[in-house]
Amino acid sequence: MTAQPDLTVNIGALELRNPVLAASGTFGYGSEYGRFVDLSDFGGIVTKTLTPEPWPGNPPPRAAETAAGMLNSIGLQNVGVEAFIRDKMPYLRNVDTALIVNVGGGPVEEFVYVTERLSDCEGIDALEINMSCPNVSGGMDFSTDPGRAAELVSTLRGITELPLIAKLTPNVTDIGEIARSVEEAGADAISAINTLRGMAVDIRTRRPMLGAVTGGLSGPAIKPVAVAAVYRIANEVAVPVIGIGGIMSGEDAVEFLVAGATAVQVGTATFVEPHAGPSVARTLAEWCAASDVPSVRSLIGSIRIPSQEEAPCHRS
Amino acid sequence: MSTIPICQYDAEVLANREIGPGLYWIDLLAPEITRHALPGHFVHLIASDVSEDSSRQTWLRHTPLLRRPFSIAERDPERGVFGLIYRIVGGGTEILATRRRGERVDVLGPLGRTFEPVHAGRPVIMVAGGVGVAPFLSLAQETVRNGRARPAEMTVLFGAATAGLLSGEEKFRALGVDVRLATDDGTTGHHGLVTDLLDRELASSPRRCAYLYACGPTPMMRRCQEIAREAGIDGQVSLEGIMPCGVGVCMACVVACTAPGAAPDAAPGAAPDAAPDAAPDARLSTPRYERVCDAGPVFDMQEVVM
Repeated sequence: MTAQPDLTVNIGALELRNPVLAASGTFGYGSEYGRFVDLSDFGGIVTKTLTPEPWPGNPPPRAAETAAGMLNSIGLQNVGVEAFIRDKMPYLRNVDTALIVNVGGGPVEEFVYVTERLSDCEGIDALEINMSCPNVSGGMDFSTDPGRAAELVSTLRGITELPLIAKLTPNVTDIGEIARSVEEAGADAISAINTLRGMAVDIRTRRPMLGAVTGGLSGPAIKPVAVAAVYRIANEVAVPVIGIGGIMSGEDAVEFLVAGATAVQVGTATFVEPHAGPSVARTLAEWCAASDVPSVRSLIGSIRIPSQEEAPCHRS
Repeated sequence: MSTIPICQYDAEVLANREIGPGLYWIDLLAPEITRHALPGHFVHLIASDVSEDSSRQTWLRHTPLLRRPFSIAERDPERGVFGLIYRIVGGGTEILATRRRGERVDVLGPLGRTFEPVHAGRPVIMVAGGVGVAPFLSLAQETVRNGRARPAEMTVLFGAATAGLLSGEEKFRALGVDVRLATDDGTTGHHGLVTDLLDRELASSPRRCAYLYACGPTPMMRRCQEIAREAGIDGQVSLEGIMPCGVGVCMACVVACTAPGAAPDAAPGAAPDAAPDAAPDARLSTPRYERVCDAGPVFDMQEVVM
């Protein structure tokens, strides 16, 4: 038994006290859950995507439960970057955890505007670029095309000193190719995956369950897809990978780390259990202690792929 | 955002019984939630058994995945117990109905915006459809308990598909509150819509309604909205929604609202020059979406687009 496993990890220059972050879109602007969850138990929190102007979002219904998961089509409803800086930052500045702000928009200029405004704002540790929101037309494009993905990241790289985390969509043929292009363009880290495009139909009314017809699937249902994406990306790039998708427990976090993630984000699980993030961090520490793992860093990318000789092979 | 503390409880099930066809009443022991709850508050609960000693895998324990919201129907602050009414409509309520006395249910609450209190000298009508009766049981009970108004100043119009689904009406009668019933199938009370009773009531004794509350199916609440608008009566509706988080985070449970409100979180994204008194269609083209869990579930009656 290792008594006190070292949970610290680094995302570029940013050191996190543990590898568990709250995922964007599932943690508001911090203060909502901050009413009854200790935010300092997180390695960091990622706030809801910001656009230059307040955004009304998609028509309801915006969520539907599916097998071991949920569909959403929020459509980036948010307060806009100015209200965020004015009304949300005073609270967030005093929260004792890393603050990562998620940046979104339609055209590149909108990402540029939000990034510039946030770069002037004290108290932000990193920016996550929502290159892949499935619920806003255009948002998808940036991370489905390697050229456009690189263009967006290099543009933002040129205007901010803050660490940049590129958040990628799984709705592509090869996420590894996109990951390589954003790394070359200057991303400090890659987070994956955003939600999978999905749809559900109410067969009684024959209407889609979501007002926007299709939406993004999240929750335990997508975890194997996310683990595969993280494994693929980690093999393609040198920058840290932040795994996202269906993490409900410390064991799930271990799985992502072993597959190549340096940190993880807890999303949908927080809706179910508001303390899911801190609970994942705590059970991750317990797992390390019980498994004689002195530091979570030793788990990162520690996957053992059986060689051809080792692999079970049935000869006739 | 409410200033009432949010509590999370492993609430003990004290009773969980069928009170009508597919209709249930559950009593949960959760003193802190019970103490702070006001009429209109809801709780967000996990229907399945998620206790850590469950041998099932985490995600299997969490099937169905999301919490389910229920209006508080009754509270007993001395015992620390609150009651909920629910009807089996899907996987969550189906599992909730199997939970036994002594088991634990994970509950988050009290949540949301509460009703404008009833007060003496302003008679009210509450229009309830089906399980939409729940928050009005609370409202009537608290009003009588606090002596804010006489029971005679409250009238409940309660409609459901059939007589067996009108369970709870006896609680109003016990409080001395006048209840009129309506059923779709005519098994008891008025054979027809509960909103017919509202029309009739306002026509015969308009002074018995200075304020109107409604909670039930959307067509019922839409009709109440029309009637209230025509009669010039203020009021409130209590809504439900598909609600993943319940605490104002996920932005999923929104409802379109007509007038620009004070909430800065939901300012429209375009057309700053749109006049506040623009036609309803124009206002809908630049929607203002409010969260049912946080700005609601209780809204001003004319504020929501139904």
